[in-house]
Amino acid sequence: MGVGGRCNGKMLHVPSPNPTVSRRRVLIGTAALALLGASVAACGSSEPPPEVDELAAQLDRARTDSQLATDAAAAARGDIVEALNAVASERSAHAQALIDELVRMRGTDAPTTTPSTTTEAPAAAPTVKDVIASLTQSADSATGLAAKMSGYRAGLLASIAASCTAAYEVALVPPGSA
Amino acid sequence: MTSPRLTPEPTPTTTTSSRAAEPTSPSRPENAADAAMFDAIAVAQASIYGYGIVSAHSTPDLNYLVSSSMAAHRKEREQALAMLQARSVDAPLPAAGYELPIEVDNPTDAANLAVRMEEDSAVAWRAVVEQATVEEERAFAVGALSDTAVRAARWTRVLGTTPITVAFPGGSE
Repeated sequence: MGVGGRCNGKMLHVPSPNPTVSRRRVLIGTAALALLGASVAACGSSEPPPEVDELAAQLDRARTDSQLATDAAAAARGDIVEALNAVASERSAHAQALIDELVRMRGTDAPTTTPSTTTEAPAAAPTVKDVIASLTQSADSATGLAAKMSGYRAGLLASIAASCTAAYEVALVPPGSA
Repeated sequence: MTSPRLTPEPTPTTTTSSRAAEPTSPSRPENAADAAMFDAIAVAQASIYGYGIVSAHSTPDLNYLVSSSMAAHRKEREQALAMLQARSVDAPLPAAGYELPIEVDNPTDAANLAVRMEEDSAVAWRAVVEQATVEEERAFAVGALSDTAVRAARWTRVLGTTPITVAFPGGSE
């Protein structure tokens, strides 16, 4: 699946509610800023809606989860590999849908591309547990935002939250214990 | 998204004398938020009926999943009914019978029907999320959508097909 560039175990630790700023986050933050800048430039005085930042953060999470699941799949064995790859693919689809919505909100041009690959030294590969923990936070985050937003954006975020929840509650848990 | 849902049968399947004065179900409200909730209640009622069929054809080792699924739809229906009632909007009545979208003769058919009903429920709850104008109702529907996606995954696992999850439950992205 077309999941962004490999970064060999980069996001090992599951993002905590107040994560230390990773390089990827900075990159994405920069991308979001560029996106805001472009929007401001294009629209003159009109302020971009605050939802842009919130959706950009969801996009960040989707890409991070997709990469995390891809890295975990590469290190895993057995049936869980397929489930992890499905998670990677679904989170990648979420990222694309969020990009599409950001483009709609901003008007014309697409947001900046996926974060570039890093050259950090490979560390221990993430595990299924790491993916479950990250998806749990992603589901919580999308659930909260879906309730606050309205219309299509709320619906999209609700579907994303539902997908993450089904993944960490069922798909990544071996049959019998789910 | 998927094929026909469980649809209310035009005529009652059972004819008992007490049905002579069959009440007519209230019509769908004009207001979009009310209409979405009305639809979700109708889908929940169909699912409660449908899980009776699923129950009849499932193997005993799945009793826990049948009963927890049916209980969840009942609970969601009650909560949605309360929300409509609070706005003095009439809710749909359960139909006397429902036409099944597929023939159900064995445990595999039963699991397929369960997945189908969860997919229909996901579509209905997503519509409530998008149409709701009150945050509390939207939050409730977001939770219901996640719950239905979890049940869909469990029933898909029963079928043995993969992947057991979808990227956009209830959505057409």
